[in-house]
Amino acid sequence: MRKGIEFSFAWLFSIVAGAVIIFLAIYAGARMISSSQYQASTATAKELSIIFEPLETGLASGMSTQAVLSSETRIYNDCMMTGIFGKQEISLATKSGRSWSAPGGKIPIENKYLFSENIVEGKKIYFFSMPFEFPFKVADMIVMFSKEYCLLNAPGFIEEDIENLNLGNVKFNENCSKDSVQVCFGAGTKCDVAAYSNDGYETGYVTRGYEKVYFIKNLLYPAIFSDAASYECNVKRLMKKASQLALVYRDESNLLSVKCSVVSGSSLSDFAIQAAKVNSSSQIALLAGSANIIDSDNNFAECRLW
Amino acid sequence: MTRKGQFKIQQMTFMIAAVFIFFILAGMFVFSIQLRNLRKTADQIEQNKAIGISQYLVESPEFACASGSYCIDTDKMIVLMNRTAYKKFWPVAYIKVFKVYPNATGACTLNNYPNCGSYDVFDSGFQSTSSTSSFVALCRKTKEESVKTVCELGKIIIGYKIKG
Repeated sequence: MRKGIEFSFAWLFSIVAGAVIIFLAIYAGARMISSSQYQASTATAKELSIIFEPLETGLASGMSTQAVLSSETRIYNDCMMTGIFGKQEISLATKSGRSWSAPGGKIPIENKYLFSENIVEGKKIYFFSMPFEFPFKVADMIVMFSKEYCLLNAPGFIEEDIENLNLGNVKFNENCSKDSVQVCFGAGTKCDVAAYSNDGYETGYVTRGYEKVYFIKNLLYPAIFSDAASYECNVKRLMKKASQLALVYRDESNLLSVKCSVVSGSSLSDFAIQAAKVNSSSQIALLAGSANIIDSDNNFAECRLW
Repeated sequence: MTRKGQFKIQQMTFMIAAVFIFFILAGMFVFSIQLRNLRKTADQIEQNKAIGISQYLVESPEFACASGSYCIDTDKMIVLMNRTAYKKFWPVAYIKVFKVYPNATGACTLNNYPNCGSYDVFDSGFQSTSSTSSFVALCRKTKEESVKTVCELGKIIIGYKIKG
């Protein structure tokens, strides 16, 4: 008779059951790690959205802050035109080892205007905000970036604006490092981003590779630091907000018109309709004329609405 | 199969069932602790956000006075209350503004403004809420002999959703 290894049923049974238990334990452990990673990324994204509140400029011409994260992080910034004001969704992914974790939950933001590249990557993230007035204050534009920027031949007032913000990684001319994003004002060679204007940067356009976006006034800054998709989407959102604010001012004008002279409600209504129709940055400059007219009416009114 | 063998299998099955139940209970315990911490973190973040909003909302263009100083333009706020477009704009449960001095009562509408005491600017209708508040100047235009700006003391209350 042949001699073989003999397994009792009890042995076989406990090996199979043990294997199942070990498999389930490993599976549950892996799921717990990934869900806690997802949870941490979502909580950080939500916390990040809180630092946008102190960036509300009020009377200031600009504000800046920075976030130092515990590890290398990717911030995804998606902008969409859903709803009345459009919205943005930010989510975070962290680097674990050599690979990136899946992005955490998306945090929706409807009342802020965050300009950036689609993915901002780094451990130290810089933010600055500037008011957008058209002609009344529409909102604060928040710019988020992590790369070093180098501004070449920037006009004095732009250099002053940026210096006042005290941003650590925006340098000028000869102080720039090799890897920085080169931003040229007017003509230049080896420019990653170039800004052009014929009227002292009141209006103009910014090119980034094949992308071209248009700006007026302070929109120049987000045009430099964000990609075309984020910029165009946020410009449309700003115009929707300008439209809604014009309707609020129209109602206020109707309320106050019995007491004092104010900007006419009908011109504010017309402005609201025109602003709501803007669907590209190239159209803003066309609307600037109407904005200037209602601004001048407001300045001469007995009761100023803004 | 012998009766002894059958008994052993039965014993093993009960043992494995007990081990599984133990793991499930332990898992549920860990899960409930995690969930409680998660709710706590979420509430803390919501509270921080509400505090931030209560401090800076006054400076937003929907509320700020034309002069730009730290005050709410109630002429603007009373018309803003009726604009449905803003119903989902602010990430909070509710925004209420009360007149503190001089004392006044009654909810403000376009019919009784400015002789009223409270403004329900926005209410999401969410039941489980907590709130944070800050004092603020409430300013409006009046006309007696000439047009002038009158300011009163008010309080802005921001409600936020709680999950815990």
